Amino acid sequence: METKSQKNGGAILVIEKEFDAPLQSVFNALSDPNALSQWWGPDGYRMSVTKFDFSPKGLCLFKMENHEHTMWARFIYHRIISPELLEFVLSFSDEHGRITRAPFFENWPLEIMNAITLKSINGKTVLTNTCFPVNASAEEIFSFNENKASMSGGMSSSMDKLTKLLSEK
Amino acid sequence: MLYDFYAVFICARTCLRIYLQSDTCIKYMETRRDAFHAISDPTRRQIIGMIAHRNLNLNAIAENFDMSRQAISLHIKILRECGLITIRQEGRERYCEAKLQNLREVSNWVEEYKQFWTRNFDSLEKYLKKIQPNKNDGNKKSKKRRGHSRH
Repeated sequence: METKSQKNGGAILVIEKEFDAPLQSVFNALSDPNALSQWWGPDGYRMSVTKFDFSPKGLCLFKMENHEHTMWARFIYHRIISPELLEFVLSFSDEHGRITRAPFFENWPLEIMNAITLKSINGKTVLTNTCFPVNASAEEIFSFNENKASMSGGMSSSMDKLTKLLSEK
Repeated sequence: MLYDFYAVFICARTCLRIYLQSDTCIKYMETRRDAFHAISDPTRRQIIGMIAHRNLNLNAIAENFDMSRQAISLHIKILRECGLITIRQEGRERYCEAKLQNLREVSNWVEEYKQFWTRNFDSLEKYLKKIQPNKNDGNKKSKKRRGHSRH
């Protein structure tokens, strides 16, 4: 049963971007490890995928390295509906894929939900990523999934207003 | 199953005692009290949003949710332990007040993460251009066709 609170659950951050490419190409870029290694990751870091299981609850483990540092991180996939929806939880990890604290940030969530939707509009693809911290081991992530549709209006949520309020101060 | 494993692992790393009582792992997750834990639940996010602009008592908060007062009370307890709200006694009522300065941690992360994705989108855009040489050829051809039609 959907509760009042879930209806208005809201996101912390919604990022949108239009790409001049077909829907399927954008989805492939997000879901193919070879493609990911060519664009994903922090500036100046080489990304290489070492484990890849593209299925719900599957693990994508990857290394990010530059001349000074090596970091590991992982995606745990949730819902996958090609080519429109891709949900994954991003965490920093060790080389075995076990969650660790963020290397350079003291205050960083252990697990971040990224719910990416893709829509084809006039031959272009609009990507929307809805992000917020989760405790993926708890039940709440699944309640998020069930109520994903109601969260598309996330920008008007209370938390977004609050974040806006804070950034204006 | 994977999540169960990681929950146990995190517990083990942090507190062997809790690890040995594996059914209390979720409790460990709840004892990690920081602003991110506070906002990892949609109900708690909404509660913070509600009291950000005006102080409310428990009843006024609970009215907005289809869940028991007890459940709301637990969320408020967690928010309080995470340092995001304080409880103030006014006569017989207890009012919840937001401690917005402690949400800075969250807004700083939001800003960092937004920038991270913005840079990723830029490199994704470049990647998509690189893998679509045919598209550019197509544009050239269509321009050529338009050019011909004018003559």
